[in-house]
Amino acid sequence: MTRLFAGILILATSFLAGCTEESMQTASFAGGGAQKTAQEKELEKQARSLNQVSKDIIVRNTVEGALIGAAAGCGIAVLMGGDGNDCLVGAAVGGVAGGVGGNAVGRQAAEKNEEIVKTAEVVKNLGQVSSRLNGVETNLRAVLKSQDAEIRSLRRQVQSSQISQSQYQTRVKAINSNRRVVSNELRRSEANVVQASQQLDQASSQGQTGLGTAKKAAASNQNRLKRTLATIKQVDL
Amino acid sequence: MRIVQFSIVAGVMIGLMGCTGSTDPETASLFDNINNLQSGEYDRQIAQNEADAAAILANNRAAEQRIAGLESQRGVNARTIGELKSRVASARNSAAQARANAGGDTVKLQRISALEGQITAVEAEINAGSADPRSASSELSRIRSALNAI
Repeated sequence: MTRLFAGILILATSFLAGCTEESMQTASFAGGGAQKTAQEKELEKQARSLNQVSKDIIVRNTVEGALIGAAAGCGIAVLMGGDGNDCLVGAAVGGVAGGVGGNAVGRQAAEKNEEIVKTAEVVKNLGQVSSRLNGVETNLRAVLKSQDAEIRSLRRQVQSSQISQSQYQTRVKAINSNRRVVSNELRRSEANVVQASQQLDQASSQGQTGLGTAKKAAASNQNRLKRTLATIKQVDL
Repeated sequence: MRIVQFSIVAGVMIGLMGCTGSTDPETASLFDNINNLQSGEYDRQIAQNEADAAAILANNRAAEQRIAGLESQRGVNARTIGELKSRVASARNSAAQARANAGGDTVKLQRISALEGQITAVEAEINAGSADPRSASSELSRIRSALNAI
């Protein structure tokens, strides 16, 4: 029975030990917190939120839109009992409805629907990525600057024996953990933007028009994420 | 001929019944599509998407300039710098006091010199605006404690 309890205890301890790296940084030493600061935690939250938004970038395959558009012309003929290929009747109704040719309306609607639907969501999400990056960049810059200054200060204190090497290392580990979390989230966001960019390229190669600005916006976000990532470096212990 | 005309009218009526007035290309019905094309609504939406994408490019360019501008700015405000400088002065006084108390004790004097060097390093960072106020303050406290212990 005792062995069973011991086994359960060991297992539970192992599971707890496997909890996120961030939760392990809880020790602190007097005068300087070894755990992550509130600003560092906020930065991680912002980076996660950015990644979440970037995941939502979807380049949609708008077969549905194209079908609706096509129906605008020729579908009328079907409604009227025609064979569906005869768009002349549809054209006539198109004329009644608004003075436009049925088949032409169908094609036009299909093209415009596809362009709108494909671009709208991508642009919306790219816009969210861009605006959330504003907050991440500003906070990241402040956090990195503060961490760099703190590391310089801690090194001087180690040298003067005001703090121990172990205290220094504990804090540096927390800083590295913070930088790793933020880097990973930014890297994931970058990968999502790259994927969106590739899908836009694919849509273009399949004849989809009107994606030029969306592609530029995706490339701009990608470059910005890359630049931001390049500012984060791990600290030597 | 009358049958054809009747059929056309009936078709239009049925089509109009399915009209939801939607301007969303995903939910627009047959006649919504015709209406949206005619009214220029779809062209407006395409233009809006273009404008939104252009706004992203503008925001990213502005962010780049803003970050570059921030790099050249001091990270700490004048009031905080003033407070830290006052703490530096106080640490220097402690060092002077410790030096006076040390007399000819070379070991103590060496230790005081090292701590004075540390004060100078902190002060340089404060003057350059690159110090982290929390860390600098904590470091100055430790320096003073070390000086008091001599």
